[in-house]
Amino acid sequence: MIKNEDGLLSPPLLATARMGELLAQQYLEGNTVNGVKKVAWFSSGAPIEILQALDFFLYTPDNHAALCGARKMGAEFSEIAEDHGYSRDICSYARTDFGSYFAGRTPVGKIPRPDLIVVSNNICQTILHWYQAMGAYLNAPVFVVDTPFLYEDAKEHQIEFVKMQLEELIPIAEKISGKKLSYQRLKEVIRLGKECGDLWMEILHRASTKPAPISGFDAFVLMGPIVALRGEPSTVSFFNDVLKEVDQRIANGIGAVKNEKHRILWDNLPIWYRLSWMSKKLASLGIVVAISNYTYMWGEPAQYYDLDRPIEGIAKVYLHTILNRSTGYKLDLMKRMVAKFSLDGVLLHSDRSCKPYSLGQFDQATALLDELKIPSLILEADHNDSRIFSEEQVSSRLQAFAEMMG
Amino acid sequence: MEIPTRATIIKQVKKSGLKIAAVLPFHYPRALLRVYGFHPMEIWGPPHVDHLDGLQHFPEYTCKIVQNATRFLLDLPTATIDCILIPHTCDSLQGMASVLKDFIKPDQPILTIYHPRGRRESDLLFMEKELKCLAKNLEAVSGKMPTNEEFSAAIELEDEATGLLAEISQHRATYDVSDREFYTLLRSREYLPTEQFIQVANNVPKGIPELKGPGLMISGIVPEPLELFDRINDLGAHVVIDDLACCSRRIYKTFKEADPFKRMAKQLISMPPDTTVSTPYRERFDYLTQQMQKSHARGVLVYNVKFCEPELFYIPMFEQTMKDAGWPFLFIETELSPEIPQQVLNRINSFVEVLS
Repeated sequence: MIKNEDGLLSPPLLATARMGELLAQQYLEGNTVNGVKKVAWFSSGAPIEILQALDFFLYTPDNHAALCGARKMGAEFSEIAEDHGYSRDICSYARTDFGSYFAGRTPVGKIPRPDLIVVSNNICQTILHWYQAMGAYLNAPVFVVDTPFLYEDAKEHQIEFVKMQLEELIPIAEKISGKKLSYQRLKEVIRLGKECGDLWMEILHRASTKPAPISGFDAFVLMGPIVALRGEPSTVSFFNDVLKEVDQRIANGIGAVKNEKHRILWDNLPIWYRLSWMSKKLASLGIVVAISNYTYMWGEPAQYYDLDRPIEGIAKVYLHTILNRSTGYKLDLMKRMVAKFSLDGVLLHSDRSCKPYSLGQFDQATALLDELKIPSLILEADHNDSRIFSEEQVSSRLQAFAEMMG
Repeated sequence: MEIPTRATIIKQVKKSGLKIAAVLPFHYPRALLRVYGFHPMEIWGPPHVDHLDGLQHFPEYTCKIVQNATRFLLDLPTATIDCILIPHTCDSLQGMASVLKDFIKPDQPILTIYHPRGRRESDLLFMEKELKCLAKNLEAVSGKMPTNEEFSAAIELEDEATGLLAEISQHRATYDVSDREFYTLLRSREYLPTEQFIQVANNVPKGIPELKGPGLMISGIVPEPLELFDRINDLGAHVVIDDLACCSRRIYKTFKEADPFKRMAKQLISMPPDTTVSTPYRERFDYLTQQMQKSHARGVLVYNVKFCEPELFYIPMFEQTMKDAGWPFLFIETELSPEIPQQVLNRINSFVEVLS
């Protein structure tokens, strides 16, 4: 929750507390699920529909790592991973996860052991190495859903490849779960997944209103269920409530930032251990993060779900995540967002731990200025390792950025 | 052992009328390039380029191979190369290809190829189709439409070279050349026309080399500078086997298939266990353990370019596996420069003393 002692921000959405409950319930169930249900770990971008339809209990280490980051445990766990030989130059999510594993500690009570690990490289290649390592440590089978990177529009053979892998996953998951996949159930999961994605996009698009009723920081917090619980009826219900509350704010002219002067886009992952500080710092400068392409990523591909061709639809959804698309595509998306959300600037978080997101930012910033006269700020930090954050440097750069926007 | 330089080969190739494809690391279909009239010149840096120029486009935590290669390519006279092929090896090369295509837009076309991460039936089918896609792009650049016979001939020739590479790598101890000469030969595969590589490889002096001290496995992406091997010898050790991306990780199996695309696909996905395709850890370490046992290496030196995540993830378990088996392990990260820092030499020296 973003705290608001200084009155710079509107009170948090009521739905935020319910979001915490949803995730807490999931983690609580995870504490005692081994032996009761089969457990599947999945990378945040991996296709989970087949697993959901087979009633696996689902857990994503990425979400856990982000939670550790938000609880300011990222640096501590990273140091433990580094003591075990892992380099500081690998992804800080992975280091957080390794550190938690080696320490036998977690803020969620107990992490369930996996019966199956499903990983997809549609967010990065690094995640394959991370999950293969965990598979080795835990002696768990790892299934890779390999999603070829899209330098251009997806080609037929790329979609076919992902579809074939999903078809290969079915008998493996059935064997482990001890159940037969029901296509009716699968379609219901897909229908709910699409509904979640569509609702999420509607929520995000509400920020095109002035003042923005919801900020990117609210979205960073609220996105938990679409990452960890997409396709669940509880997530659909939750997002419906969020939408109602956001519409109420619009009706009452309530903005997320009380003194909204500038509207910006946040590119890349958030800085989890400094969400509150960043939010207030930007708010003090009259800046609202109206949209982030990172939160957008969890709803944009939902358009590809297809109830008539369920497996092919899933293949297309997971091929088209923003991180699996070219630097040119991301620039086009940013340009569309500038127009749709009436943006004055773009903040590009140069995340040391995320090369797929960070490479290309220099050229994107140049293009935004040249083509749209939109100023950018490139901010060096890390999404989970607080040792790579300099408050003074960031403060003065944000100040200068605000002045650039006038 | 006379091996022509890259500059000599570029002139030679240009004169012969072939086109030149600049190829980034590291799995790619040599035979396919050949049959469409392209000669591959691989780019692994190079180390002498000032990487600071590469920082125009990439943050400082990007690997130097990408930074240096970008600068190097942009500084080359346009007529030198006809296309740039960037295999999808890692997040950094992914970024490089994307930035070149979308922003830098050099005169030469940027071609890509995606190597699937597994060896399943689906991976094989995909690899075939990906090769056909690349073939179409090569046809568009070259205007060539090869026959089946031309395909077969190209594959047979590359298979011969691969076979020689395997033979030489496995019988290092029967070649009377220094480690530096040996790896100069292996790395000449990066730029020599295949016929010339075969000729050179068939004429490596046979005999028992004068190599003193303990034998090492060297692992990593690319050992630069090659002077490293002289220094290892000077410090009292020698290299008996490698797990280098530029060398042994490209010893593919050969297959007989009527369909050239199926044949090339099978070959490419048959590569040894490799970090860049995220081979399951146990499989990779079982393989490396076998290699250590076969070669009687006494220790492992991992010598790698900084910021290389595929390699970095495997290091802790790699080290533990080797140490559990009784083999000392040294991991060194470098900046990909033309000189070897004294600090690095000191560490190798201490390591060799442990092994001796």
